[in-house]
Amino acid sequence: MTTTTTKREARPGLLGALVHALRPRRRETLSAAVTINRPRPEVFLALQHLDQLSSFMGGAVIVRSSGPRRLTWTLELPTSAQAEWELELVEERPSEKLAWRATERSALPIDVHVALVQAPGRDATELHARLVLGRARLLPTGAAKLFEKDKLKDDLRRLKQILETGEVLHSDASIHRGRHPAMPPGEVHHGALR
Amino acid sequence: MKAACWMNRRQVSFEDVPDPRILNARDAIVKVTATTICGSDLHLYSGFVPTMQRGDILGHEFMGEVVEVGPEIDDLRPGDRVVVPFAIACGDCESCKAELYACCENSNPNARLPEKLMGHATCGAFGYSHLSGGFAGGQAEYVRVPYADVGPLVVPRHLSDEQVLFLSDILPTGYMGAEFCEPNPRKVIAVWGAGPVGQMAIASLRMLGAERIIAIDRFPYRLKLAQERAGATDIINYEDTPVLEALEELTAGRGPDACIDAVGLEAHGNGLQYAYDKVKQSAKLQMDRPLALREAILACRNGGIVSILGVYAGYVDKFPLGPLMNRGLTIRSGQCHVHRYMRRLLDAIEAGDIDPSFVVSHHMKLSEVAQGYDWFLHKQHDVMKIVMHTAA
Repeated sequence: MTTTTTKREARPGLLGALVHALRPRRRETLSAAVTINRPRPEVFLALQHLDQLSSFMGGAVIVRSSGPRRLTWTLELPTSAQAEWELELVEERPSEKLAWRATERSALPIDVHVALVQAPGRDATELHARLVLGRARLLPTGAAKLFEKDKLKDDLRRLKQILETGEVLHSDASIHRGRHPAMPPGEVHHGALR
Repeated sequence: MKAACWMNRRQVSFEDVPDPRILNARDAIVKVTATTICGSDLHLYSGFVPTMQRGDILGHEFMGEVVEVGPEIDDLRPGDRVVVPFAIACGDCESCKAELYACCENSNPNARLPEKLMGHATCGAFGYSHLSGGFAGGQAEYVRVPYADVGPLVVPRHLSDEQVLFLSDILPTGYMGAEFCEPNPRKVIAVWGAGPVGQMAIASLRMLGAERIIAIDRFPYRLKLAQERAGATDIINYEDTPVLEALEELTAGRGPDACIDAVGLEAHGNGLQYAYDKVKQSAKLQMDRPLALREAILACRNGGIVSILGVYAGYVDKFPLGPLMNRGLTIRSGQCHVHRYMRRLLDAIEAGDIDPSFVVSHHMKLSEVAQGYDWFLHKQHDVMKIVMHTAA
């Protein structure tokens, strides 16, 4: 299920929404992989409880259980709106594979496949993730970034961090874009990375 | 608190900044007692490392006293006197388990940036640009130390700050570069650069059993220190003597069995190649001036080892790949896996096998940090290593 709700009168950027609405969309596949220094059963168990690991999405997305085998992903949009997707677990092979599919009411058809493979010669896990995006009726402005390869790779890196070290590591600069507490007040950069 | 902040190219200033705080459960906050400027800080100072932002706190060589720990830290307590490795490492990933701490897979929150520049992500490091995670550095009164259960080494109080401070970087770095050379009494080993890392490499080579060590630099005071304190047996001043010719003579035509590049991306030199590198670097067509590395490869004997300790940032031109391949050379390199060496080097210091404090040339207050950078860059006042103190 995908719903876009507006808390205030703020709207998705008009031009952005128009571009998204008019842009022809094809099925698109994103894939990325990461090696996690943990045994496959442990990684599999963690993936079965993604609602307890939502920090791997970088704080922008909240994952919660919305019923047996169902997860709801809530994304805070920059426009003060929210977008929600509900994914249903459709395949589950212990320590090998998990697959979720957006429920039929979803405006964004998306399949998520995760395959777990033992890394060569050691008790570590290769996690191969694949997102298949269907034709979206309307992808809210701000949500498109969720479905970029770099974002997927960052998410997998954070998942690896959580499973290997227990949490996502921060620096002041990684939490606070632009001005941050480790910089002198009033003497901060005003642009992108040099 | 006050801290040394990078404000622009060749502009460092001592600024008021907010105190660091615990951000992760495995953090500690350290009150810095002594810190120093590294040769690689000069690459930041001169603007050769991308992603620096105005106001970034510098410094990756520091020690101090633990004042606060996160809830997951059991083995450190407030009051512990610690030296902190410059590389940040989780201790849990495959690289850390293999003691390749400077290849840690989890310690760089900005992993995406180096991945695009270098192919794979590098580890996080203190005060070393946003490519290395954007962590605040230790040229400050206080610093936040992530993964404090893995990095900081508790040091005994009977050793002075000057004896243990360099465990944070230059001593293990020099030692690793020496170890790469597989030293033994039969080998002749040449070291380009008699700065602090070069001095540590020479002293480590001596400790590891090398008997013939050649130091190459252009500053007589550095060469003198290399010979009188670090343990070099021969010196070459490249302002007076062509290096390749001198090495050929010193090794009867073989070339050194192993060569250490302790210079890195801001190599100085004479002749057209130096001018070529300088122009390309100034025009931002290349990030590095690999003059010393080129020479080390050409000098090294067939089948020998080239050990790269000097920091390089990107892609280089006129790299002697043909000589490297056709003469069967082995290159060993890397940011130092400091954690791997700290304990054994602390033991060596305690046993009196090595005393790295011989490189200290100046003491300053941290508030004088801008002057320290200027002196170090321009090699004024025979500067070798400046130790900066936070206490009044």
